[in-house]
Amino acid sequence: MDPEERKLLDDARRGDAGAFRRLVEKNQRRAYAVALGMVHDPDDARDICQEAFLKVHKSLHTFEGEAQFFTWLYRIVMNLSIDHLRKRRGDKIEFDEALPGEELEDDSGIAPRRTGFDPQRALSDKELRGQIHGALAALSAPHRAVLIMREVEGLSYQEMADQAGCSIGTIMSRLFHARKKMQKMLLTYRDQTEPA
Amino acid sequence: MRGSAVRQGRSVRWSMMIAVGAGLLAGGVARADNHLATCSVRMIDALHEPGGVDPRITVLRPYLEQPPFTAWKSFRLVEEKTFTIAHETTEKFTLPNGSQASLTFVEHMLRPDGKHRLRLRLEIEKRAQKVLDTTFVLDEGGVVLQAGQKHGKGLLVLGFSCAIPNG
Amino acid sequence: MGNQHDETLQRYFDGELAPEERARFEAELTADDRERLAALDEMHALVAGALEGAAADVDLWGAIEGQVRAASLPAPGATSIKSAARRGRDRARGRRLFGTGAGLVLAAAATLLLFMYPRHPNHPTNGCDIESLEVAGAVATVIQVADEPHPGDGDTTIIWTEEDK
Repeated sequence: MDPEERKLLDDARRGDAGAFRRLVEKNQRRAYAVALGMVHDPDDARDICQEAFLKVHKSLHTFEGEAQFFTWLYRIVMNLSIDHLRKRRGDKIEFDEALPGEELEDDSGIAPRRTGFDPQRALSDKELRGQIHGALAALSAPHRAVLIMREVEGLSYQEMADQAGCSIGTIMSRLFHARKKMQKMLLTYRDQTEPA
Repeated sequence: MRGSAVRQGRSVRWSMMIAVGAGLLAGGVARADNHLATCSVRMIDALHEPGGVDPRITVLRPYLEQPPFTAWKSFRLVEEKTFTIAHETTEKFTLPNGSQASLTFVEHMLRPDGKHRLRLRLEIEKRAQKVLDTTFVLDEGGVVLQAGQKHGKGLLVLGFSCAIPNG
Repeated sequence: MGNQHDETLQRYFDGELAPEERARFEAELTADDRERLAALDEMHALVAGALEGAAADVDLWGAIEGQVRAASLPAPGATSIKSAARRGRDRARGRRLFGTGAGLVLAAAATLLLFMYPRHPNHPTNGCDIESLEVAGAVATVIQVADEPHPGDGDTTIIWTEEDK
């Protein structure tokens, strides 16, 4: 943990609300990106992140600093997001097992075709962003989770397996299929909006 | 004699009035129970979309544009109710999110500087269960806000203020 | 998953190959492989960009400040109006929350702190004083906001309730 973060944590633990505010401001965007990627709805993502930070604040005294602060926060955000999705879909989400129905697709590899979208546009173009969010939302929750863990958070396979409570093989399989599906959806969108 | 009896009667009445007046003043606060309170409840939606503060609730802008409301970017007046309640009576009304609220005029007081103070009780019920019960003392002209109930995509903010008309 | 080559390609892209395996794979990359890697890179940028773009303006502090401050060091003069141990998440239907006759009884208690900032202790307040506050199924915080342009001359009170999830 970097020294600045450690100092903020120590001060926050002593009741310094300003120090906790700085921790929130340093980490809120990443936390929100994760939650939004998982639950799709901006208001729900905001609620989840608020609840996550409040849980963190209540449990500051239990955090020993053995991991990065964001790793701790990230786990809480992910768990709250999964809980939220379970409530929304009536507890039908399985995160531990492979998804036989979804994995039995055509066995072609990652599509060797780029969409051609300028990634910089994804930052600012609301419509493109909306399409990407929509494609993410169309993925199953486990697929969405691995994609966010890898593409947004850059977790290793082992870290993702630890987070999801499954094997590295399952993570790799889910990631492969999640990427394939995302590519397919984005290419379809590209073909519909920018015909050759 | 009649004349002296009348003088005595008047004297007794004045004595009683002085005694009552002295008693009222002795406590430092006059308690008068025959006042009516005119109260307004502003029911406001706080939303994350930009939009600013509804011009009809400009009076609340200073509070809505600072913490703890900074996460919300627009404030829209959904409904405003104004009612007059007598001492120890209750006005019931429905909130935009379906909860039932009631405001009771518990007590009226006068501050030493002559300003009116009201003791009020706010109760909110959600699906027949009481979720909030608070008693507060509010100076005339003062505002109390209750916030945090969900309403649609936003947050419900209730603004209460009361006055003693002709007080 | 796809074939063995696809698996290795993905592991290569994600930096999961051991150094020797990585060097071997790199030496044998085909044009098709490079195109697939470029497609993966593009998708990574699009997904990360879309989520980071949506998060750019997020500001969570305002919504949680009240509760964080309430749970942090209390201000001088803070008074606990009602403090009760949580008796469990009482969502049982039909269970009466209020006793009869003797006042109010709440099954799901809340912890709250009242912040009183007596900037001018001898000056009468021109705002609101909370005398009692009970909630059920939520946490309540009482926040006093300085009235401008006369801060301290009478603060406005906000009763903030956060529903239990």
